[in-house]
Amino acid sequence: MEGLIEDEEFEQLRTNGVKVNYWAICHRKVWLYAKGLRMEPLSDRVALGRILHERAYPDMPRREVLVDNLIKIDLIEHESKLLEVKHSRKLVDAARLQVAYYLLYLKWLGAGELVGELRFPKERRKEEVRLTPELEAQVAEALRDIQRIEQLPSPPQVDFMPICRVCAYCELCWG
Amino acid sequence: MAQSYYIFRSGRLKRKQNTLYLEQEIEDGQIRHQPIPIENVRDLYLFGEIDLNTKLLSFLAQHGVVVHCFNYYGFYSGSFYPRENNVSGHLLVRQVEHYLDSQKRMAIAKEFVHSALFHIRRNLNYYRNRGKKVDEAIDVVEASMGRLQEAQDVLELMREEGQAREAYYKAFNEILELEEPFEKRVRRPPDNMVNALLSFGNSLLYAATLSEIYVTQLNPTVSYLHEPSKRRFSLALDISEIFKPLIVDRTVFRVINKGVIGEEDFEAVGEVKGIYLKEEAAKTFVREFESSLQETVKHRKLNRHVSYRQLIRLEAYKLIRHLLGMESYRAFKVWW
Repeated sequence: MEGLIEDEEFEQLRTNGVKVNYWAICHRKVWLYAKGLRMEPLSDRVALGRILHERAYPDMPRREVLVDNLIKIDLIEHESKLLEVKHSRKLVDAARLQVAYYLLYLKWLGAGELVGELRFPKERRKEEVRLTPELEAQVAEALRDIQRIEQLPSPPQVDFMPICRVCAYCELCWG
Repeated sequence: MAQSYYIFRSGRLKRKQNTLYLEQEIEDGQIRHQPIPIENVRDLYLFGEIDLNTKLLSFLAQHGVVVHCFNYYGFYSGSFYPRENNVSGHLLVRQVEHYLDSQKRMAIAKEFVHSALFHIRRNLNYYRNRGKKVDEAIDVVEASMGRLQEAQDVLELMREEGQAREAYYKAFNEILELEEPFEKRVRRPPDNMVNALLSFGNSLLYAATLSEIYVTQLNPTVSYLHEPSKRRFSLALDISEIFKPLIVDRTVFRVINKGVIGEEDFEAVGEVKGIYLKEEAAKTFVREFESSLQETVKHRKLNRHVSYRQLIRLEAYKLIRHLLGMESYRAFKVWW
């Protein structure tokens, strides 16, 4: 299928999961993050997310599984399900893409077809994520575009969006 | 919300069970332990004689707390600037690039000076509207502002700034109700009350600016108006230039004209013709200074209230945007 990604290309494009998530939200954020301009340590929202992540599902043993020093999976359940914990469903598309990327990554490593699940403990919701050809093509597009963005000499121009107000990068971009 | 802690008393700062403690001896040899929640600390200003150990410094570094030290006379002696764990090589390269290219350097340096003079004129205008005779100074400042565009190098910029400041300081005699006229700006050591207050205020502002730069990825040693030097975090000097008239000078005007601080609050240092603030007056000044930093204004783009302190940080972000090619740097100018 058009847009699917070959093993060789995947190896060369692979990156961390946060960038895939950011890509679905704001391309400028991808560039800034990639160049070491990280605003997360200053953000109260990010701190909230971290606390939620630490406290949710205390009984699950496999937490923060770092693979290849590159992607960090929040939780693994029963050796076959990857869980990604999010504060709210507001940016569910980005979260879905991030989990799809993890699934693709593990498939590339030879782990076979796994299942992902988005968890929104505060909202008591969950959503299963399976790697479909469409989703895989989206991940491929994201990875290719992330590489293009990282090579830009300056951050991509973007417009002020409502989401900017709550973004950790708000003051850096618009202050 | 993180805040600045100004510690005047002597004692010992300790790390105890992941919290900060200030231990002070009170009467009859008893020791008072005062906890300071580390999450609330943005930076520490040490004026008293404080004992501390490396365990404490590591703890402060872990939480990104900058420590500014002042000597017995209240003069700034240095900062503990913890290792940055949030660095950007890319930005550093850009920072240096804009220093090495003289045209690029001038573009930024000019903005700093222009904004500083703009705020000086603003202060003068305020007093003109209150019937003070400061027209002459305003003319000089405006003339300097007019010549900034043609300035060829940083030295020329500095000269224009120096001329404008000289006229500005002369106007202090109109603005301030002084017993003895304010002759000229003297540093190291300051020779009278006004100079002492300006020096003290400037070093407080310098430290606050350094704290704000710390949270960004800018390297504080690469600067544009001031020459990057080994001794100082000169980018903090650059950026504080913009805010001196608004924060320091106004605080000085306020404490003198309201009679909060007067000649009796100063002492000479031995034989040296230097003047330093007595502890109580220093505390008063710090309180006034800190309340100026906490004053807020509505930011038009962000559509939220920001304090003067945050404005300093936003200035650093603007500089980052300039260096990364996002938008040209326009230094802050009060818009209200």
